[in-house]
Amino acid sequence: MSAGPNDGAVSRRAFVVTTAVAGTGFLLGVRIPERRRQGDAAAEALESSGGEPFSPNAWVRLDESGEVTILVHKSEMGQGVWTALPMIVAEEMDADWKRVRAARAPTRPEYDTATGGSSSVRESWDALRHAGAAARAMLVAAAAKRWNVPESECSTSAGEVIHTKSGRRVGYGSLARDAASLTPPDIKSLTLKDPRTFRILGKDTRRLDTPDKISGKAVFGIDVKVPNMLVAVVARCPTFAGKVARVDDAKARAVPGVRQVITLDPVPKQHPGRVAVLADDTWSAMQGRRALDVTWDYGDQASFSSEEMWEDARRRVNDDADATVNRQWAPPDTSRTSTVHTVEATYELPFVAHACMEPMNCTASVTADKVELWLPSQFPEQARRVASQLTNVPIEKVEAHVTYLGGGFGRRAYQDFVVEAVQLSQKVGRPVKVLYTREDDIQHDLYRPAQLQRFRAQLDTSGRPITWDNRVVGPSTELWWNPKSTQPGRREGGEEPPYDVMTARNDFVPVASPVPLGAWRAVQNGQNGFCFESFVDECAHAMGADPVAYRIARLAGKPRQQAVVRLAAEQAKWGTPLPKGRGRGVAFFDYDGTYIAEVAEVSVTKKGGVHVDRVVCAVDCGTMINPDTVRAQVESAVIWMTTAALHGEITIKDGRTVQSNFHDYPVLRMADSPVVEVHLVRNLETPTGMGEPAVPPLAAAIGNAIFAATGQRLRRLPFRLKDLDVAARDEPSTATEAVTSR
Amino acid sequence: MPSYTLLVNGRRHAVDVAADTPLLWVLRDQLDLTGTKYGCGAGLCGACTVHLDGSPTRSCTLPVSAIGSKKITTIEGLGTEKTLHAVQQAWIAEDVPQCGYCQSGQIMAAAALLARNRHPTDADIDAAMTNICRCGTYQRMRRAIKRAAQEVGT
Repeated sequence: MSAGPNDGAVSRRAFVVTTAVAGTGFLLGVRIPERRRQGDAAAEALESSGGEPFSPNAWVRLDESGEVTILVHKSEMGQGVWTALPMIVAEEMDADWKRVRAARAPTRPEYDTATGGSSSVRESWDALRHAGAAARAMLVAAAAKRWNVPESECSTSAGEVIHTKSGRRVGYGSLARDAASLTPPDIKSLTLKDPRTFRILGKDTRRLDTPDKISGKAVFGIDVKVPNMLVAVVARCPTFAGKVARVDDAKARAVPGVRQVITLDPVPKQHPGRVAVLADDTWSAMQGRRALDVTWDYGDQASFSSEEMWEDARRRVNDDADATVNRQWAPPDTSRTSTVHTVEATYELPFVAHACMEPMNCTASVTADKVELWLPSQFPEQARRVASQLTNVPIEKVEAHVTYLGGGFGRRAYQDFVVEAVQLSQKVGRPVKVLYTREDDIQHDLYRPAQLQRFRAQLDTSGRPITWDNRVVGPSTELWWNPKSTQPGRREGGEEPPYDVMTARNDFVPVASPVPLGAWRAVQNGQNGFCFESFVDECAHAMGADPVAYRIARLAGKPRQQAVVRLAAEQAKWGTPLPKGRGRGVAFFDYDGTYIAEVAEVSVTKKGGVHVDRVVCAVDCGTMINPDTVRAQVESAVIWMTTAALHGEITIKDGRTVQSNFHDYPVLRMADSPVVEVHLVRNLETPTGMGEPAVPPLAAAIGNAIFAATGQRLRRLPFRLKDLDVAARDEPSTATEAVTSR
Repeated sequence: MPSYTLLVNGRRHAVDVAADTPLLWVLRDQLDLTGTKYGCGAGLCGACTVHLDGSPTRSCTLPVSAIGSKKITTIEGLGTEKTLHAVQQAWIAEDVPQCGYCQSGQIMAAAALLARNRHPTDADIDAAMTNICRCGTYQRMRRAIKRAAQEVGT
């Protein structure tokens, strides 16, 4: 074991450790604290306290057969980490990719299992590269010792150490035992590959999880079955903070298979009052719930409606006294007098649900001295903490087994389903799987906050915004989670625009709401993307400028950002004519260093409404791990956000969610989907994230395209035909011709 | 509790369940065939698609009592370990799945389409593939169906 001083990229607490595995090879771990984003208080506290300092967090296991197993510490929810993270280790290790498999890392703090914010590759990159390089160095050392040659004469390739001079080669597997007995290298001594020599990274690579996912073998949370388990389906008060007033469970208990009916009190921020029906199997539990007769006490928010909330928000947009300044960049410059245009616009986004394909669920087994969880979770470490708090079982005795996630999108960062499973297992003394029905999943979600954003900008003669005043009005995610917070707008967006704005200001006016709020794929970037990029388009049009040219001008001095805008525009044949009723719109977004431009092509017809025909995307995410996954994530984000742009809206009436299933919360299906074209920028910059970045700009690109097609600007999501005056226009048949280049 | 004999993936299974129990829950909870998924319980999303005498069927709304002697095929019985179905192979070639949750149902829908239509057009694919995928793998599924059609057709 060795630890070097802090020298830049590698922390002073970084080190390598190995363990011989009896008869089977060796296990190698590297401890490199991951890069943290600001605000991750728990993680920062763990780092600074030096908690569990000698626990490595990136394990590589090498068997004597030559099979390499790489532990993946992030949840696989479709974004491809199950493949991407092993690729990084395998590259530096020079492993034979065909012999690499992934396994789930244990849920422990040192593994930083929190999965979200498009951060897995960005934050694990350094640690995983060093893990691979350490393994390679030890295998080289073992071979050199065996051959009695200098290490410098040895090279590696696809799972073998090669001594070129003598032509000898030896497979990694047969070096495993020797390597395990060596002293691990000083992490400072490791040389990482020159990215230009990468053999695995940057190549289209088939996902390691596909075989399980095309055969029905992949185990999701809902598939977990443990001995003696009951299945719970839970009636929740439809209002967000209501309670159970009275229960008549006689009929429910009479349903064959039903074992218990349990009333649960509200848990602040997690659940209203509930009545759980526990049965031997899922259908019996569902039937039991149907047979329940519950009288609810709807509480004091039972008259809340999103329609009234919107009226309130529209009134309060001018409420300067209630506004808290979130951010202010550069002092306002009042000396400038060259303003030629003042542009003002207000945009609105509704509440939206996640609607992951796999409804929320968790299986818990609580005994006096141990808790086991089986769960599809983005934040399983937090699930351990929650379970420990609820049961008083020490956290070391809480295991969280993470399954595949049938979608995450931010929804599975929360613990409501964990709380419920733990509570119920504790009460019945048996393992319990809690399953949300689709209706539960949509009506008891933590929604993307509804929001109104108003912009006022003054443009100088070149079109540059001299001032950019951005007010966000809406319910506050921050206040929902922390009512005492003095920064109610902290999580509601209004970041610095990515353009050359002379001075910008963002403030926030909170609107009262009992609606649970949470992270939704891209979080506040999603709102910002729509609002910023719609508004920038309006600025371009106010100047009589071309929207692509205007953006490129505003991105002066940022060549990578400009390049993606140019690439998307070129590939979309920006500027070439389209038939009547069709239009193109562009949008750009800088998502934490991932640069993305999208050109949407839409048709607007009286009969068909707004249809997105095609979306051309250009993306620069630095060094690509698996380019095909980059493409897949853009394709995914485009469908995700087209759904939200055309359909996504949760409304609240009488204090409860109106929508309940896919009939009234429709999502895009194959027939309605646009063709998605993805163009990748290749470079050797530090890798950034890909799970979310293509989400934020898309609704704006669609709205801007609607404007191009119709001359009418829609400023509220979802875009609806009824908000457009298309009656005056006759629709030529060309307008409904779908793009055929599939 | 009434008793039913179901023919699933070529094997007979006797189950004792309430008559209104949807096939989905019999497959998942009684027979441990968990490849077929619950998504909506209302026949809206297609995650629960299986074949009933070869026809794509949403098993979440099909009561076990309505099945009779019809042959049931689930994702587990579509191909074999050694020989995957052409649709499954095409799904691998196009690396279709992301989260993967809806994919059993999607593959069953695609396999049923190709069984009755060797060379589906885009319109045929649109009409047959109505299952929901929240990861948005639609474009890759379309490519994979066309790829499988070529394999099957040759």
